[in-house]
Amino acid sequence: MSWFNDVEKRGRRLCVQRFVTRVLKTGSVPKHVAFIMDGNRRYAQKNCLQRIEGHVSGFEQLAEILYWCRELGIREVTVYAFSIENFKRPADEVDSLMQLMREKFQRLLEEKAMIEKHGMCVRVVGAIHYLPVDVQRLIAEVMLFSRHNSQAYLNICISYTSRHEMCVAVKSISQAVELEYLQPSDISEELIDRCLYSNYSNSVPDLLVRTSGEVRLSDFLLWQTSHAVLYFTKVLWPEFSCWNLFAAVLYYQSQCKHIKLLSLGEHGQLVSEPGCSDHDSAQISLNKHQINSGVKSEKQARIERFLEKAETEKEKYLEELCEVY
Amino acid sequence: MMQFAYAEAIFSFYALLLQLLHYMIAFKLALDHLAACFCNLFRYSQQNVTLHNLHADARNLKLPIHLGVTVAENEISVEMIATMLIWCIGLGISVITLFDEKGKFKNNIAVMMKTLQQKCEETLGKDTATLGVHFGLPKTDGVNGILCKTRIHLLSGDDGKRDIVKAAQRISADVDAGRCKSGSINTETFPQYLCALAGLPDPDLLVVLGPAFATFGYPPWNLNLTEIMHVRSHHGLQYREFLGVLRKFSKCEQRLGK
Repeated sequence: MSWFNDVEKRGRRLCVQRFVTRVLKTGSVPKHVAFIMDGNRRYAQKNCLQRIEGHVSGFEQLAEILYWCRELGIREVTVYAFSIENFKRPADEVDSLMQLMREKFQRLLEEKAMIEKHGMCVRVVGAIHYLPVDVQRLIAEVMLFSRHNSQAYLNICISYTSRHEMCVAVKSISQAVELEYLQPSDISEELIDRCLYSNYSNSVPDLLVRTSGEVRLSDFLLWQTSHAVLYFTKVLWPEFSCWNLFAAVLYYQSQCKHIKLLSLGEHGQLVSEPGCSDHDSAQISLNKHQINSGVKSEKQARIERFLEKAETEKEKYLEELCEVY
Repeated sequence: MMQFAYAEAIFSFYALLLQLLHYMIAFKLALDHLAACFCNLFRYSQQNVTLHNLHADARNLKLPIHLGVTVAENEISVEMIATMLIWCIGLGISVITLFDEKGKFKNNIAVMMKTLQQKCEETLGKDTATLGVHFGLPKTDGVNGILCKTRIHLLSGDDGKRDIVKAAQRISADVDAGRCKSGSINTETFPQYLCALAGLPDPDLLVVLGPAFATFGYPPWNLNLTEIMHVRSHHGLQYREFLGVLRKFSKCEQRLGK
């Protein structure tokens, strides 16, 4: 089963869906959508299938949704495929999931032409060293192959939890401070942003979709989704069709207006007590100005050197993985 | 030129259709809300919120130990927030954190405490001290004085990502000074450096009040397994609507990745 949705199948698509995408595109479309693809096992149970077949159906749906995301102009998609917590599942299920990953990444490597055609950059985000070595190698190959593409981004979170991601970022920053590549005062929200696995991302998710009716983040992009619109739907992931995606985008569009009003409302007041001072925002402006003058260039240079070094080390790690076999 | 005009016309037509679709959805939501208000009018009155009724409702619910509330509205009614806090106190929720990104609550804690005291006496007939309501984080020396039944803590945007940044700075200073090794930083040791919710359990439930549904910077580290629910506004919030959210929470089941 292809990652790019078979052309023949695409030819049979109804005009109605294409029409709807054209209508939706006249409004604001999220640039980056994150999906928690939940409900594969419940889908399998509901349809009297093996658990792994639920996951296979889940993958097929992912390919379909990626196609419609491209049609809608959603340039970046992040998906939660496998959590570090999922290693606690029964061994046979974990093994079949690893096998599924093997097959799918192998397939992706066979579809290099399609990756190039769509200019897609595939990134796997997570503690991949917990995965079987051959899976790590396949992942490394895919990432190295597609790393210069920039038309579309697909981030797959495998062996991932957000807390682990944040700890790894803080660890690398503290090591850099110890080795005097950085100073403690260099540590900021922006630096942490750029140290997270998703530092490759050009944007944080605008919209987070979770299927199967659960209404929590489950250790997924906790830092990155602080201002993302949340869309929780009861539909199980293998049943999440393009129509559900259209509904999510419509919901996002209706939310945009409210979020804009909230951010514009700098002079909002407590109804019973007039005028909270805006001294906080004034202080922030002052700090920004201080940063902008002089001290910035040396600090920025330090930070850029540190990030470049980290980037090089990551690439070297991926290249070493490819040399294993 | 003709082609361009034609494309523009098609675009305008699509845009109009989209607008119509949004109006229809908004209309439907408004109708739903009106219907809900209408039902509440006949079934329930705010005067029925007594300590006794709150205790009775609590018996049928699985309550969150820590309820987080994000207020994401420009105009905030302190009376309405205080009313909601009264319900929480009466139901027996142990910890409530009240968050708004701009820090309006945190910067006006005296107003909040005074309004809550007034509401407590009006609605429940007792003062906050008698009900065991404490403001702020638990003291680290373990001495908490009068028994604390409900702890209310006010948070702002500074307690979110910025708290994590400060923790990273502290850790870096410790690593640099040799007080700890960078290899010892993990998901167990890192939260010891966080201050925003120090001594409190992670929220089981986060309720976002306001038309936009996002967490808006509520301390992200602590939202790991938090059920997140949405209420369209705190203005005119009815007890039944609030209870509905808690009922929905009672039904949530967590598999923890397994």
